[in-house]
Amino acid sequence: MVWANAVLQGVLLGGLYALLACGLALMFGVMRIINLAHGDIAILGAYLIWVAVDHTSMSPFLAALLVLPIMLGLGYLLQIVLLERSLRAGPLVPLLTTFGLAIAIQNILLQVFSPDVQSLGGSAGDITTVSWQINDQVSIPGLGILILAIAVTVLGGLHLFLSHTRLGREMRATAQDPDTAQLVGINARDVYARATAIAVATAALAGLFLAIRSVFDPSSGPTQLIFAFEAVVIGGFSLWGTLLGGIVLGVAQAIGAQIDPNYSLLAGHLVFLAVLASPRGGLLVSRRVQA
Amino acid sequence: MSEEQPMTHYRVQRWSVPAYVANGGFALLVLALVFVPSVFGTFLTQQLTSLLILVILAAMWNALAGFGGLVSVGQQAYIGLGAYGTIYLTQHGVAPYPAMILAALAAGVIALPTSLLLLRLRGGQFAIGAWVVAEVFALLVALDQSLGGGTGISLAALNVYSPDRRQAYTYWLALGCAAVLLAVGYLMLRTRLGASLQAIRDDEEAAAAVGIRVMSAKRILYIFAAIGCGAAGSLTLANTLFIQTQAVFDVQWSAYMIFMVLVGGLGTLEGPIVGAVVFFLIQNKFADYGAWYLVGLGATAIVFALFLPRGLWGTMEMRFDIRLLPVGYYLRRRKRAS
Amino acid sequence: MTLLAIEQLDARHGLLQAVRDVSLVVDEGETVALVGANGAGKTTLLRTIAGAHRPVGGRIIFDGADLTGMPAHRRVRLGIALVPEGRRLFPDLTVEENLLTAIAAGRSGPWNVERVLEAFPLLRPLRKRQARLLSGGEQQATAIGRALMCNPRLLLLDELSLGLAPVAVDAVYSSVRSLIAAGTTIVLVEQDLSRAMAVASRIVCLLEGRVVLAGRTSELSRDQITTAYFGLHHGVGRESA
Repeated sequence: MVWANAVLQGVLLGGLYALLACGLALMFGVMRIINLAHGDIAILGAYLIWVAVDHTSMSPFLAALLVLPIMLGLGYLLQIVLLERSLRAGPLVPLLTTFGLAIAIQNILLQVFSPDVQSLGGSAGDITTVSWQINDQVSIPGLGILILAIAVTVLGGLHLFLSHTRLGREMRATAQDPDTAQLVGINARDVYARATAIAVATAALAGLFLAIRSVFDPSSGPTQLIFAFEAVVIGGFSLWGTLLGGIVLGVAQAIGAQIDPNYSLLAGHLVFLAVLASPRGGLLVSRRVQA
Repeated sequence: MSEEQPMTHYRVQRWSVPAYVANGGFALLVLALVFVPSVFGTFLTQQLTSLLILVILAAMWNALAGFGGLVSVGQQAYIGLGAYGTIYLTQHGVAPYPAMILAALAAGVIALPTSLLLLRLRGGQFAIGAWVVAEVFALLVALDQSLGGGTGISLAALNVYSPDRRQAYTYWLALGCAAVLLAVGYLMLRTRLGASLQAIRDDEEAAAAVGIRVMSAKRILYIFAAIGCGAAGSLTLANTLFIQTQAVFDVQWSAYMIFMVLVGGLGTLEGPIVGAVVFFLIQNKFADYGAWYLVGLGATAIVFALFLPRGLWGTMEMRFDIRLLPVGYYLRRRKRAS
Repeated sequence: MTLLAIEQLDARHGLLQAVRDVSLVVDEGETVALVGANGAGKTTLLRTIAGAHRPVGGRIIFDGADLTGMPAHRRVRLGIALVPEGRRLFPDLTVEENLLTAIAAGRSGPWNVERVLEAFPLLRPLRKRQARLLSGGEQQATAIGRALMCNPRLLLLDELSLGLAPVAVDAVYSSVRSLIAAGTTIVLVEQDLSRAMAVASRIVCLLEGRVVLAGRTSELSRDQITTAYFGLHHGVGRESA
């Protein structure tokens, strides 16, 4: 029964990883950029929400409603100011600039907020304590269910957006052939910036739930980036795949932790490497993201 | 065609006078550097050892990215393996200095199976994939209590030497490693492999189409960089005598390498040396500023990547048309009256 | 009335100068065919007009407004649509989605999905099929339909017959004729001289990036065009391909 519980907790944790991963997958799908600052952007979002909560003692969920539009704007600017230029400079340059950005964000956070560990769990209200006890070994935490539900909603929303709206169609068209997209009147620059804006906002949303679920500090970003990337690869680089990938990663970590807490991260990484080593691995990485 | 044009002759040439001077100069510089420990004090020797380690790291990252198009943020994997490999070998009776060299080579051996996985990835996927590998190595090392677990361990075996002897030996080993690795990298690029690598960097598919064995060329480079980073790791251990898993497997190493290579000049042989010197000076001057110093490093890397992609050295090369360490050829035109 | 005026246009691909000092005027309602050998600069000229290629010198004036330096997507909004060489459909989008992308041009007019399907009946059963699964002729029809969905004032057609079966070429050209009949202004690039002469009201012949011959189709003989096409009047020994 402890194993069933581990799997259950892993599945719920997978919701958080999917939420982290979907922005990374979206940016890769649309622009072929892997944003090495994705994890740090999630942590930046968590800190902005934390600041709002700290100053006004409002609910973190309400604070997130204020912060998410800011993150959308920051994402748009990130594309226009930094990534657009990087993309033009060659395929390796976005990696270098986003890595530079990651280092800069981490250390600005460190300077502004000190290395102290923070959490939003205390201010999030009852949701963090609600759980349904199935038996003495298995219980379903309300927060985990909420995060999974949000992840499914965000992925479903993105899916509907990409497949059924004009903007989504333009995003897919631009992803497939940016030059031709311009020739039918699509402003590829704007489409890219919107994609980055969405990715940055979903990262911040993931940051919110990470901060409620556990703790964070200025150096938490890189680990989150790695989890997000692993979820994307395990899931096969598709949007819905990130849900599957996130859940597989979460379950692997939970089962690893059940064996020995030291094995938690290792188990996740090993599943990732196993997927990479599988005959499918080589194929997966060359595919483009589809809605 | 009515009028006779003067015949144009071309001459293919690799060497130029500045290049002869530079190659001779480098040899002399290395020779002169041998005498540093006997002339200067332990402190300066230690400082120069750190500089040499930085030169090795920058050259290795540049070999991957500048010549193979492989941007890695996971080379700390081999820095860590080099350091912990040294600890492991000395615990099993190997003398410390031979252990350092063996550990570097062992890092290369481990890089072979790793490359089978990682080189399936391209671009950003390779970058993070390499990082995951570094995390896995760090976690595995931390699990082994005999290697100090996560808390760190010191290289006790070196205590048999007096501090200034120890520092001198470490320095000489660093100098030797730097010279050998740079020379191997230099010579490697002047062979057929060098031309293949640059073709791969420019267009992997086109390179494959003209019959270049893309995978094996990349693999050689990856293993070479692993050996170099392993050497840098074991030298770092000998230079500081104490290591911790978190610090030695820290992704910050990658930040340093990227900074040095971008500032010095990606894809040139001289650039990483310039970058390492610049970074060394900046580190000594600004490291006290803590986080802001790192913000500055990140921002500078971005600025160089976007606005000065050739780096300091590459820009100079363009400006003055010099190649001190030539790996390509000049096509010189001489006009002759017909 | 002049719709498009090109003044002393120069365009390069790196070191290669693809278009040299080209000046050209296209009147509303005209059909102009650009002919010339491979590498004569026809495609580059079209792409430069559409904004997909940046010129190094000269001006492009459309309906009185200077377009030089304007990004491609804004030119589409002014009414310039290009059917690019090789169709360049969005491979994973369906036929209908490919057509609908042109809504981004934001131009109202007679063309909508229904009209395109009427004009190209072969596409009707394929609406929901992904573009990469179509045959060459079907793809070309979709590409033309997509450009028409922009409700263009000037339609640029690049090598419509390239890679198509002869039957498909006939079908594509019969629809081009009906567009011409409807008064659409067209600049087209065509390798096949007979086809070009059959549809165009004017012929412009390019050689090594320069205009070497231009005139009304009715006033030019096939020999004149062929001579210009191969650059024979430039003297012996000049290579043109």
